Amino acid sequence: MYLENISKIYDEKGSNPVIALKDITISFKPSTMYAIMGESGSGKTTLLNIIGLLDRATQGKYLLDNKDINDYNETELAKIRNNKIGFVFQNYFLDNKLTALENILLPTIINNKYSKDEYLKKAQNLLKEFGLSERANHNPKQLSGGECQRVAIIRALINDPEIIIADEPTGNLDSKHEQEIFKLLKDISRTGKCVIVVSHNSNIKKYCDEIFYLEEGTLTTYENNH
Amino acid sequence: MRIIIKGLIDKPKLKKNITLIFSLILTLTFSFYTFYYFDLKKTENNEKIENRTLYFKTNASEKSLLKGFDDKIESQEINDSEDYSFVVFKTRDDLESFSLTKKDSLKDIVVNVTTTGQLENNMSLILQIVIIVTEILLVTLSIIFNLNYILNVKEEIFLYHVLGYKRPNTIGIIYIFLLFLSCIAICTLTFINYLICLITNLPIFIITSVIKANIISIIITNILSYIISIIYISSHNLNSLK
Ligand SMILES: Nc1ncnc2c1ncn2[C@@H]1O[C@H](COP(=O)(O)OP(=O)(O)OP(=O)(O)O)[C@@H](O)[C@H]1O
Ligand SMILES: [Mg+2]
Repeated sequence: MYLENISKIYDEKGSNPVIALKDITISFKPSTMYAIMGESGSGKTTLLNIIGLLDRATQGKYLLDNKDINDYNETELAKIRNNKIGFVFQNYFLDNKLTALENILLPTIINNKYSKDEYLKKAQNLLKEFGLSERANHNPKQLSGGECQRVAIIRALINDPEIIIADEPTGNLDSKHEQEIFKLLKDISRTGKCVIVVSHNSNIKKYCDEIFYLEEGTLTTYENNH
Repeated sequence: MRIIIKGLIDKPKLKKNITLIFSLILTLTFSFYTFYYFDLKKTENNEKIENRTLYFKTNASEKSLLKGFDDKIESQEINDSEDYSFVVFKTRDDLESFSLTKKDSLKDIVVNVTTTGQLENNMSLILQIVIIVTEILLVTLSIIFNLNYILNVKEEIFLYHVLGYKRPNTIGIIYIFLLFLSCIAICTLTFINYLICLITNLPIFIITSVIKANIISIIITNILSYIISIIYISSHNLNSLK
């Protein structure tokens, strides 16, 4: 994954355009855990949305598997999101009307990498692995924050994505569960996936291989933990 | 597909809303029934001869009083030898308009006029108010339910978008399905209402026209909410598309 001179301007033609990102050049590799840090409003979410194909850059080039994403239309982008990218959010984004298991299966409905039964089995295995097998048929409302986030992580993993994107995954959790989620994400990165985490929290540093700092839309510092 | 539909329908809320709408429609039906009943009784009463008759003291001026009302009078008996005379009007309304216009001159000479049930008049007024209020409630609530639904579904649509669902086709189809479901629910309610009409022998046309108006309003709000959600889905992030 390679982003070159990415800029993002909100409300470009409007009365007060906001320059959220300026000339960002950044690349990501598999089997690595990245952190993007920075103050509130520095453009972290904007950058993640562009990486996650939820939004397009105003300027710049974004190569995913050596293909320019500007060549894809919205439908193709949706397909890539479903297949290659897993999302984790601060507020979990689980549907309260569905059980944990159903929430996990939501992205599999439009994906035919595996059969229905295989997906079900996979989901159950992951639930077990994450210590949630007892919770499969509970509603998110009945789960604790940490459990909800683990369910969300399983949902992000269910389609075997290459990239996991997490925007403040521990923003609503206490420090004990925070460590637990960071550890999980780190383990996931060791299975060959590229994990990108946005966080205010400096505790994340010790789990990450590479750390980027954003300041008012520009990339300022870069740290390598090796 | 089953999961998606389950995720889009808020069952407890839907149940609550349908119960509310159903009870409002029942209230409406009941009000109509009693309203019709009182109306019937009133007409019946007004047709009675004693309710169309005005008795007054025999007096030299009565002939000139009746001038201009000739075509509204069914029969009259003006008798100088008796203590009083009487006039029978064709309808109760004629009598009332006559007494109203000639109020001052009649004040001293009217002996007797039967008053029709004041209570019934009040009742039908109250019922009319009830009907109008329920009607307004029904329409407002159905609009509120729909708006509420859109606002809730907005977040879910974003979730589906993140998870890689195409827009707007997939969600659009699901939404049409939901629209279809709600139409079925409304039609069932209407059918029950229709049965009530048949059983109670009411003038079906009044009630059905009200119900038709309701269904149309509900369908319109549904379609509106569909259009709005389509606009929402397609506008999402499109502003940044080149
Ligand atoms: N849809 C939008 N329209 C206009 N401006 C926006 C929009 N989204 C974000 N911005 C602006 O872009 C800048 C960066 O926002 P962004 O959400 O990326 O920050 P962030 O680093 O994620 O902040 P936080 O840590 O609070 O989540 C901010 O100044 C914000 O006001
Ligand atoms: Mg943010």
